[in-house]
Amino acid sequence: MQRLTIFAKGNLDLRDTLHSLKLGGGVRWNGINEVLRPLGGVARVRHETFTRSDALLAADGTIPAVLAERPLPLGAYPLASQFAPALFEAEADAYALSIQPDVNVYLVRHRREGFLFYANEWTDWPAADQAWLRAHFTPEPPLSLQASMANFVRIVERLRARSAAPILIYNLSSVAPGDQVHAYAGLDETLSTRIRRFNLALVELSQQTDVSIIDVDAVVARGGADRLKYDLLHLTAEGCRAVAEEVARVLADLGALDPA
Amino acid sequence: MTAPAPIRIEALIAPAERPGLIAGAQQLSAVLGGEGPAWPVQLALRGSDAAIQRDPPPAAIIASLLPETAAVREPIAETKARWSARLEALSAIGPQVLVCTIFRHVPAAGDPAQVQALRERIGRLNLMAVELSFELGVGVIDIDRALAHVGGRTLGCDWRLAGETAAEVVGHTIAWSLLSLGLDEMVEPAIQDRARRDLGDLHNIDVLIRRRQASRAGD
Repeated sequence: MQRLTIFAKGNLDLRDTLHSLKLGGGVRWNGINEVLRPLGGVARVRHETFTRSDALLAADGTIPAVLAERPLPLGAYPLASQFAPALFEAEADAYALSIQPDVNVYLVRHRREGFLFYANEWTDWPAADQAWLRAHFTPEPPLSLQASMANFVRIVERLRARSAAPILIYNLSSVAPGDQVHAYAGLDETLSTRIRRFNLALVELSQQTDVSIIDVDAVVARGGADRLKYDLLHLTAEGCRAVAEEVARVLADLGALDPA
Repeated sequence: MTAPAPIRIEALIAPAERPGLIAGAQQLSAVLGGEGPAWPVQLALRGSDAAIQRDPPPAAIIASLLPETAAVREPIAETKARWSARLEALSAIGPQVLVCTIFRHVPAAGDPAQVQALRERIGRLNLMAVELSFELGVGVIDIDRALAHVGGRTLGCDWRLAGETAAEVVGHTIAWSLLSLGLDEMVEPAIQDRARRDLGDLHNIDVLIRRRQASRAGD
């Protein structure tokens, strides 16, 4: 049986589809091995959350002292994953990333030291920590499409410098359940439109760098957003299976499931 | 009580979209009629912009992007420049102009490079529709969004829109879009609101389809 290690740098889209989807205290989807085993393979999925491409590239392994000395409830986004990410150090048979963080994660920047930080669920923090955050950080604007794709080129270059393992990048489904916009004049860019732009830019990135796209958008259009998604960004168990099958198909096409 | 004035829709669409447009006209006619007689809806399928009847002006003009899938290699900037000029000219006729998007589902059959090129072309055309709506004020009949919501496999259709169920979903999207954007000159807002409630949103599309299928079986 072919064993492979997948390093998944991303958030719920990667974790839920590759590792597991847990809802209501139960496991609704048990990860990519559900589809790999019939193909003669098994994967160890190493998952690390992903705040944004600019923050990833800026991380140098040093956690800023102002953060290290203040215990903050960062949940799934611990300081180590933000400032000392393992992505560029870890050995893997395949790397999986996603454009999701660059599409809709908002960072803050330290006013004096200038580092980027993801204040996960800051509105639930104790009042003193919220006040501290406001005093010491300023909101960063959304990442531009051009900056995002330039960052991904650099991320791919850094990975390629030490590994020839396949690099898979998830796009996003732009279908938002309940979205009924018919006229866009006078509107700011909707999240659905931003996702469309990023998906198309990812196609160009793939042509430029030879990364493989996990076409979540196509998978959802084929199966139906009504069944495969809970909301704009979260997949149901059936959606997780469909995307995991696509990942397995791409890995097989790339020869990653062939016996060594 | 006087009969309502017919709603005339001028359409510049691909042959594959005709069943959906006809279904949309039927759905619109039925829900506007409510408990009374169906509201007369006239469809004029035109082969060119010049063929559009302008006097009296129609209630709405519908233009489809589907024929643009043939020009896979054309730079999208050129396509957009053509469409921008075209939509400005159509909008000058008077009524609301609406652009139909293209269902993004392209089966992975045949040459992978051609499949990918077509998927990319469809994605760029659909984004172009949104941009033109933002820039020119035209409406969007988002067939792509509606069909992706239900799913190509469930519908048994792809970007070429084959099948009765796909036609009903396309029809629903057309009727809903017209009720949301295009009929204020001809239909009182209260009637349009009631018609939208009777039509139901996309989550209840299966109810609508069963009702129409039962109605046809009883004819």
